[in-house]
Amino acid sequence: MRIGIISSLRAYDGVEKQTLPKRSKSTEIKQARKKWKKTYDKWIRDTKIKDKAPKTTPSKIPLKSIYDPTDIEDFDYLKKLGFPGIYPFTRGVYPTMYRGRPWTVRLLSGFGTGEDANERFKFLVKEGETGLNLALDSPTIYGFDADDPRMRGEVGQGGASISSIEALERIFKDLPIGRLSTSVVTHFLGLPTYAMYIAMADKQGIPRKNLRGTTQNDPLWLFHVGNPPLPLKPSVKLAVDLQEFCMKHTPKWYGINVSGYHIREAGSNAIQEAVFTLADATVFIDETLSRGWHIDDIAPQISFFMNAYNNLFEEIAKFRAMRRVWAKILKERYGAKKARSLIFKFHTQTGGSALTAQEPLNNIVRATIHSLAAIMGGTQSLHTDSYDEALGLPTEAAAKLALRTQHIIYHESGVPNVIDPLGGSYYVEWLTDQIEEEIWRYFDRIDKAGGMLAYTEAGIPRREISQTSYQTQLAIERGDIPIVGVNLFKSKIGDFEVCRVKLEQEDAEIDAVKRVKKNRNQKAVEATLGEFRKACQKGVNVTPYAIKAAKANVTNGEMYQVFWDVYGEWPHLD
Amino acid sequence: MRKKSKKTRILLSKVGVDVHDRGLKVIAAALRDAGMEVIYLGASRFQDEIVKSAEEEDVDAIGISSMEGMHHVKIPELMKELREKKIEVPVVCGGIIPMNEANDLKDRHGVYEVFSPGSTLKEIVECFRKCTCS
Repeated sequence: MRIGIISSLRAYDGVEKQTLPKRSKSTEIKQARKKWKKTYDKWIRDTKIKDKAPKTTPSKIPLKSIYDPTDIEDFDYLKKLGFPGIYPFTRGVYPTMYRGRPWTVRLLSGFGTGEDANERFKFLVKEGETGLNLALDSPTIYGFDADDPRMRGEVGQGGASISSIEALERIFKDLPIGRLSTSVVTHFLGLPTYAMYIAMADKQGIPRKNLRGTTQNDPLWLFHVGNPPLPLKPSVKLAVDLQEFCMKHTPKWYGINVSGYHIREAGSNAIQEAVFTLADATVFIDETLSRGWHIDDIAPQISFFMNAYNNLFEEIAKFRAMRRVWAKILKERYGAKKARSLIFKFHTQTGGSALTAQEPLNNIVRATIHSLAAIMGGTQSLHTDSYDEALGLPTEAAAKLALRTQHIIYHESGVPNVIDPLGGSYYVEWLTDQIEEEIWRYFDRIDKAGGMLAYTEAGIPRREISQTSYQTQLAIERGDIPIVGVNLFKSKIGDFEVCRVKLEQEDAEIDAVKRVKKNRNQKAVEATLGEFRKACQKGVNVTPYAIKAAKANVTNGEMYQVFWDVYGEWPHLD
Repeated sequence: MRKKSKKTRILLSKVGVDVHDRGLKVIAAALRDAGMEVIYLGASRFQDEIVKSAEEEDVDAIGISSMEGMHHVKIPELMKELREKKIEVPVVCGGIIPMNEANDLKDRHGVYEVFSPGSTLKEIVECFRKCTCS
């Protein structure tokens, strides 16, 4: 759409704006296209080849075989695209994008003991990582301490175990938390680990306002997929408690990172991922607004966590469309005024469920394509999956290769040199428009159902995601969705070792939390835990009480027990 | 307790707080499409919940999925408790389970079958049919 740019410049000059191509040109193009189509059909007929290309994108948007200016005929450049850092931000959220500074290379790490996670972090920082990304183990996410006997075999698997501030301090030992930005992938509530992090920084004398990072703290995705440990409304309440505290005390810390990643991993398509993620964000905004905050205070504090999957152009179009939709929602629906409120900032992780256990080296290529989608889609930070992640935790060599994948793209490929390099592509602009329309259509449905909270309570996203996931699997098994090594060029899984945390490492974590529980000042524990419980019962913001409790070595499991006592048990949605 | 029903009843669950139940949900849909009844416990379930549900629902078979590498601890423990409670139904497992560990689960712990990535829904449904003689 180079023509479109000329049109926009004219508009700037005060010349009457024209939507190009002109009608006559457009007719010419249509005629030329018809002519080409005849040749195309003739070739197919004469050579007896079959046009085997899929008729739709993975999200079921019907595809043509080629796009030209007439596919985006009334394209208004300034309205649709504009320039990076300017509404509607389709081309990127910042004016300079990667010419100013690269995206944050942020690899998810953390498993085994605190010492193991610490060692991996130091390694990654030494190798050039600029932000830490801490994964938690399942027991920590769901509110259980390492010494709970039911957690045997799961402590430190797939993430770090953080039962108390003592564990967190071992993970961050000798790391400059005042300078680095830390993302904590809490999967559910961020409150207990955030409270421990603040408590740790307080102890080190680092001013709270200097702390940079993100707590995932998005409980909603777990109501769409998986099994949330707490009921819906208290979960939203507790997430917003943290968000509110961040706005007051840690302005450089994003209190809610709304996650579409897991929605996608659970089998949704790109459009469902986009819609449910944006709609989830409105739930947190509405709850924060109801506490008397202004939209321009809330919106800049929200960031997103997205998936980059196989279909390169659909993924890029998804990110571009999401930026546009988010800007419009904030401006038109919420009346946000500041530019910082309107921007859709997101971290991307490459699609884990797209990796195959068969011929795992092929995953290097997949992760590279996903990474390119994220970068050409304008991501703010990126985790590239390691090729061996379909089989277990990544080895150090594989993690390093994932890091280097990003370095090669940044330094060697030339991809980040030009902002939004696909802007103006007839296909990508058309696809971006299509995805945007689909998102709005879906939003209407959600609005008519009474908003995303009601939609979630009714279990509709949950049902729709599992339906898509099942249909996808059936399509894979029919061979309609080709996967190399799985249903094309089939290959058996070679025998493999699971890179897992040893039970002795678990024992070390269990001993550590037992020691903490034995040696701490029990009076301080009872007092701070009692205040924390009262705060939960009263309905006030519980974050300051959680920080006090964290300082007194109250554990994650003990805080969760209070949640269960006060707010109710697991809702079990299936 | 179980009402008189001709349908084969399958209990599907993860064991432990592992959240990854995409595969398990797909299997639930496939078993239902094959005419079986599925009691779906799903993600993040404890051993005692699985045993209790197997007892109360009088199921014909149990399917357990494991994705986070803790199968070598969780599944033998579950098998032991099922044996102790005299719940003698076939247990079919699936997930990221290496071959030698799959053999160990079958030979030493009495797991009926272990499916690895790349297994088809047809194979899995067939296995449940076979092991429940339905």
